[in-house]
Amino acid sequence: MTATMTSDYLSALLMILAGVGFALALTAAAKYLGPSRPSAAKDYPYECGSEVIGSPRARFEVKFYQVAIVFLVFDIETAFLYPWALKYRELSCAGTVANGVCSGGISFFGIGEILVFMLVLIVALAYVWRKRAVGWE
Amino acid sequence: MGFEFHTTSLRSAVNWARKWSLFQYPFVTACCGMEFMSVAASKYDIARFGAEFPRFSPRQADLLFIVGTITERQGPALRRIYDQMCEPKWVVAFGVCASTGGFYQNYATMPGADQVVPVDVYIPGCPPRPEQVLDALMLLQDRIQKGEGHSQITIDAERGYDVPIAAIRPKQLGPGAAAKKEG
Repeated sequence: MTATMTSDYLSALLMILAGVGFALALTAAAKYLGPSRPSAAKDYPYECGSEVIGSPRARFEVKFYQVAIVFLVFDIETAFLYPWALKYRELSCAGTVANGVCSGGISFFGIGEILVFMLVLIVALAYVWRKRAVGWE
Repeated sequence: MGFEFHTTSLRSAVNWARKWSLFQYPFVTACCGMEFMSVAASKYDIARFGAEFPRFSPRQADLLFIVGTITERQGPALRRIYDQMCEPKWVVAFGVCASTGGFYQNYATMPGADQVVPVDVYIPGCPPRPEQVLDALMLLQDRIQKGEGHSQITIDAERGYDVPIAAIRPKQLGPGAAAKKEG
């Protein structure tokens, strides 16, 4: 068991070493073999060759922060729904599933689980709605 | 022995690596862009020459493709992009407009992009056929291998290396530049 695991991880380790080593070798080759000719033009920001107008540190409204937070909540919800949908058949089966056929009765664990999850998020949505965080006025 | 050995000088090996890994910056201003897309796409497949990767930042590119007409107003922008590119770098004038101004005879059009940047290879044609572009790319690869690119010559001269005499041409920055330098 231990020997198998060691050899399994050894190949992964070799892969990581090869990947990191290759990147380091290329970076070193570029550093030591390539010419370095710094200039003012190279330090200048790239704007398709035009003069730079304004500062790159532009301000934007704090409302975007709210939107980002609310978005994150529902984004994570979507991310959870996909694995749940894949596992739904097994979660709805009281017995075991073999070749897509359930050996036991119906289980409401899968649907109940996701309904609780959605309910928590709906409470959160109701809260942000009441706090007028989803409006844009 | 099952091994074969290949001996080369470091410069030759570096130039070999350079000529097969050109990252292009397509400075597309006009209709030649269609032919450029055709060369880049699968039918003519510029990837066979190691130049398949267009970068839209000069920091990551070493081959400037000037694809189309350059106007006097665009000149400074083109020059800045050339200056911002990594070194060594190469320039290809794609089509007659980039090479000579083409059929435009007016005050707005620059008579060739070599008025502002040193061009390594000129491609005639209005627009050039994809085969011509690939031919130009192979010509450029030859020049890179021999160390005859303008940027390579500049760097070699700075480092005090021998510069191939055949590569030194008076016309490096347009027709007027050589005369100005001498005078």
